[in-house]
Amino acid sequence: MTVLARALDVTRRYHDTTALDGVSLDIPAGQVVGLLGPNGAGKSTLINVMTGLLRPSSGSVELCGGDPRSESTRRVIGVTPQETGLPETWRVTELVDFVAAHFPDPVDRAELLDRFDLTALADRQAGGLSGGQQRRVAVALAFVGRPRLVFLDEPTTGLDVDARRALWDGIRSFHADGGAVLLTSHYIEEVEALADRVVVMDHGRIIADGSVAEIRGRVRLKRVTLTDPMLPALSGVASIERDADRTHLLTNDATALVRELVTSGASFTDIEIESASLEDAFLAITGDRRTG
Amino acid sequence: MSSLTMTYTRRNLAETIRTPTMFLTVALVPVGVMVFFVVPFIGQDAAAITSATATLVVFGVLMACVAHFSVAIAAQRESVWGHYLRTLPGGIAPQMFGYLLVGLAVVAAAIVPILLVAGVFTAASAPPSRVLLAAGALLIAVVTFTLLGLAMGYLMSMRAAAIANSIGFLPLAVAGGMFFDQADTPEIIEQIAPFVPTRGATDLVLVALTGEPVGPLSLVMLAVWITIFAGLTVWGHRRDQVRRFA
Repeated sequence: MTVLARALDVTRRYHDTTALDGVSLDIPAGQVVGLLGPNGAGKSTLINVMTGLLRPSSGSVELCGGDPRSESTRRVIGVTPQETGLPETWRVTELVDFVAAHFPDPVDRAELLDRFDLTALADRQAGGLSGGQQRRVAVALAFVGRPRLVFLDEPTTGLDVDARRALWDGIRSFHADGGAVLLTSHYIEEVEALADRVVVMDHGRIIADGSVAEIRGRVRLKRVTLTDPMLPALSGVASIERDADRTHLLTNDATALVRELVTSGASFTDIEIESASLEDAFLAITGDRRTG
Repeated sequence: MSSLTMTYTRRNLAETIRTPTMFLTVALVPVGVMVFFVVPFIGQDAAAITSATATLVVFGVLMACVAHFSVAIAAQRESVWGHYLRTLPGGIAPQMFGYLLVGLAVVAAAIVPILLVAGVFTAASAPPSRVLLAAGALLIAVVTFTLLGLAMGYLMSMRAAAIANSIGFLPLAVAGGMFFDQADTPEIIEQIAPFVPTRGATDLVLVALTGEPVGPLSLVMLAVWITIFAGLTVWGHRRDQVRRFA
């Protein structure tokens, strides 16, 4: 399989902090990779290094076999501007035409606007659009140059459900045509819906990398909360956290845990079972949960 | 010229016109000074109005170049859009050429009204060959103040550049003796003016236009200033590249 983008043992330091710590990542053609991680995990730095905006402190980055800082390799990637930064006085059509002028074989404008449900907004100035509309425009710009690989940094944060679905459809149709995507998101359901593969980062390192099914198995945790001063030893618990008299147990199998609690004769009361947050899942994976 | 350069020029020009504060200030202030403070007093004194026109043209070039380039560069460095442009193929050259062409348009907007007023309503006159020579000298003024604007853009934040724009060029113009008659220039201005870049630029244009000799000090200092501004621009550009993209 052709590797479109490759980071090899990339470390990136800012002054005294290490944003990336020995990261290696291959993105093959046609694959949608979901990049998950808490704030400050290094996701944006990784994208900036892979798109050639930042130089790695050590290690190497290749884009289609070339230097990401050279002009020719940039023709095959698409990047999204932060939507807050669209020039206010430009119309949507002007933005699309402007970006298109940089590429040898850009997508037809009407087709692109249609794909991202922007046709009705074509003549509006960017500054007059809502935040969600601006974000859709910003994401659409990444696809103007018929890229083979698109970098999307939190494309749907702050979008309503309809707008998010519209964007997902746009990304899916790009994927169906053979395009590769590196996607970061705070929404695990977004990654589940779009990605073939999930990479989890924390503290500048990749701590999990696998198919959606594999990662889902690891992060599909339940949070079981109960009151029990004398908790017996339990198997199948990813982490235990206490606050005041309540105890929070993270587990992959809530049913088995409850069965275990009952058969062990534990004297628990007020049991609640809820889905664990994404942060819970990350912290469980890193094993970094504070105890006590 | 590449079509990408034209794309950047068109977009930058459209933006300049759609948010026209800077553009209108540059186009109206120098000619306003001319109409209200110069023409009524010396409009029919051929020699005086010719020199005053040349001085105001240099003043217009100063305002136009500093306002356009400092804000354009500071905005490009600070805005996330400017950051995004780095991810597009095509390189930085079309963008910079675009700024340059639009800068020339802003310069034209500043000086054409002055020349029209001078030609239609006053006794100002000069032989065509002298005008041509003065235009060449003015080009050096454009280069000087463009470098000053670029250096400001690279060394200042957008806020600081905007503030420097609204107040900065006045002291430069006054210290260079631009607003004084030769006869009643204050002593202190006489002393410092030759060391100020605006004086050197004005003197150069006046020499070209009228042929009257000026002291060499201001012209030598102009060359020094060009070197300093160019050095600051290159240094600021490198520092910026390292800070944002190294």
